[in-house]
Amino acid sequence: MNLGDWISQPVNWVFTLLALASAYSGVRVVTSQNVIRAALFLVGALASSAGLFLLLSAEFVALTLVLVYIGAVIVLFLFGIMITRAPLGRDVALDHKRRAPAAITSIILFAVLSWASIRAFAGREVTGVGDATDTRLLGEALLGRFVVPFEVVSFLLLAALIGGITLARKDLSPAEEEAREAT
Amino acid sequence: MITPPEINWLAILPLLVLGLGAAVVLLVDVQWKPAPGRLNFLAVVILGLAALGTGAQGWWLGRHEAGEVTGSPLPFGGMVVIDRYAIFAGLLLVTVAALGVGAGARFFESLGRRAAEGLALLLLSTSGFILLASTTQMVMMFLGLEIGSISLYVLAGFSRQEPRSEEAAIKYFLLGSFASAIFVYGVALVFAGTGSLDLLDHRTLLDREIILRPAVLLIGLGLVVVGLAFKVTAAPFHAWAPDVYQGAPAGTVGFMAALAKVGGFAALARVLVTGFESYIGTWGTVVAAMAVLSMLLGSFLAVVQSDFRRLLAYSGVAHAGFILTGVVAGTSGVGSIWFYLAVYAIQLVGAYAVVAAVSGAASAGSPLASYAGLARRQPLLARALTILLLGMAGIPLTSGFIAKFGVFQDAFRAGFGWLVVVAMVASVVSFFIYLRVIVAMYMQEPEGTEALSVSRPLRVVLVAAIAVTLVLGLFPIPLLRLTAISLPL
Repeated sequence: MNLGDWISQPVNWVFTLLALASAYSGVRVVTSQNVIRAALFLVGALASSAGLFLLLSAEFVALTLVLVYIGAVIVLFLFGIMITRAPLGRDVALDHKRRAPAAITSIILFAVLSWASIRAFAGREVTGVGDATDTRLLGEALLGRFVVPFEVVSFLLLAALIGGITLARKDLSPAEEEAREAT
Repeated sequence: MITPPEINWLAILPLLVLGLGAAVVLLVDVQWKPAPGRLNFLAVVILGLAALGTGAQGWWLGRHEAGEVTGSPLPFGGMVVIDRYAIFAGLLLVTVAALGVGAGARFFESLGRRAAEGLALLLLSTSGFILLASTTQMVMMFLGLEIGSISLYVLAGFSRQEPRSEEAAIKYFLLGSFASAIFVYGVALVFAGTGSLDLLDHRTLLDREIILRPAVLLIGLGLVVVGLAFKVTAAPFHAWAPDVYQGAPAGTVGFMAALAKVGGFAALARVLVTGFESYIGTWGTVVAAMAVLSMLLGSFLAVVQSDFRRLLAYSGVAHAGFILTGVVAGTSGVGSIWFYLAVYAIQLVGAYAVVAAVSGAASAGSPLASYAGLARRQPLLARALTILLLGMAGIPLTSGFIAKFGVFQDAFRAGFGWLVVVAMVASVVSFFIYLRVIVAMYMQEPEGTEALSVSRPLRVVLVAAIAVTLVLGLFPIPLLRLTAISLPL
């Protein structure tokens, strides 16, 4: 495909836009010295990934990403920051001096992954991308073939819930405990 | 209309027992507020039922192989697998967890009303690692790994009195989540490389040499190995272990370390042996390098520790290296890996049970100085610890020797003679470490004079661990026969 073909397809423009937005937000999540800003940039990163999924006609995954991650997780995150007395302004402690090794590691990871994916998929057109995801098929897969993992996730949630409660709960002293029993 | 899937209850019986058991422990606690000692007993009963469930799977498998019953050992479309490998892993994990309840009995009793949550997490963690060992599907492996690990992160921070305990929990959680993320990234790349998440499919594809994207597959496999190596504290992914095993409550560390090691190695060996054995030329070298690094780093760093729990953690890194020595042999090494894991896991629970008795069940840290003259303060503990440490060192007539001999022999036969030489050197160094503790216990003056009490559950744990060390050292054949047939599908 030459450059002219590439430019003439609007999907490539949209992709470039989304990819740049995603990359920029990703970088800002790590470099921002303000927790709230970092969380908001994470919204940007997730929203643009949702856009990428939409481009692949995977609207169900895209909507799930928006609903679950942006709608629930990030909002919870922001609530968590605001309800606890975490510092809201710039926080220099969020940064550290080991930027160079971190950057080198990320660049190496990026290089290795791009090399592997380009080698793997170059020259072969991926077909079937335009077909819309059938939510019904997803549902059937979840309650059919994947019924055990689907149910086992509840074990994970139970463990996380118990853990979260025990770690966050304030311990009562034996005297307080007795007072509570009495009422 | 969705057709309901066919449910094979037997295949998920141990998981169901443990999951429901966790709920039962919580509800019994809310309703009847039993004495904490009784909750410990209830947890052991639930673990016993899970063991019976696993035994029932073994019975079914025996009849299935004899052709007496129909049905697939790969129910739920291959999501769960019933094979001897999974059954052995399940029995071992349940045993370790039950001994862990005994070793941590005093810790759970000291928790008061929070004991139920701790025990429920222990049961859930066991179910997670059983799941990890009894599946060939990488998605299920990830779920099992997470269920097992998340419960352990919480247990590491369960004691509120110790700031070091909270530090341990946070470190374990952050680094552990990072390792899980690496693991799942690897799983995704393996999927990209092969189009399947099932190790059995990978084996078929590799045998027929129809892998479309070998580079992606290899990177994915590498990341999966890194994720699991973290859980089994193999160097260079071991940095968290000393801090966590020093800071977590003494009553929980034993089964924390043992469950993660057994589950992690079960998954690691299954991935490498079942799925990718034909790539052994590629991963064998990497695993051997990891083994060398673990054995040397673990042994030499253990020498300079002044805290017994850090010492055990570093020696655990070395033991991970010894077990990896068996992994490089592929299928023929699986039996030896199981023998080593079974012996080491139970000795580990026993050794940390002694730590809990010496330094206090909820304590963080256990300086070597407090072991000086232990023989005079509590001869039973000193004797038990001596036997366990000699077993870990691999002295002849203990089961540790048979275990080391097994993995070394397999590595040698697989053409890794140089690895065996390094392992011998590391064994000698690690012998010195254990000897140092034994000398302190018998030949130094005690710091305090107060006698240490040994509770009944602790006594049971110590007797079991000593029996595993001595009886299996003299009569290893029954267990060797059992491990030799505990092969993955």
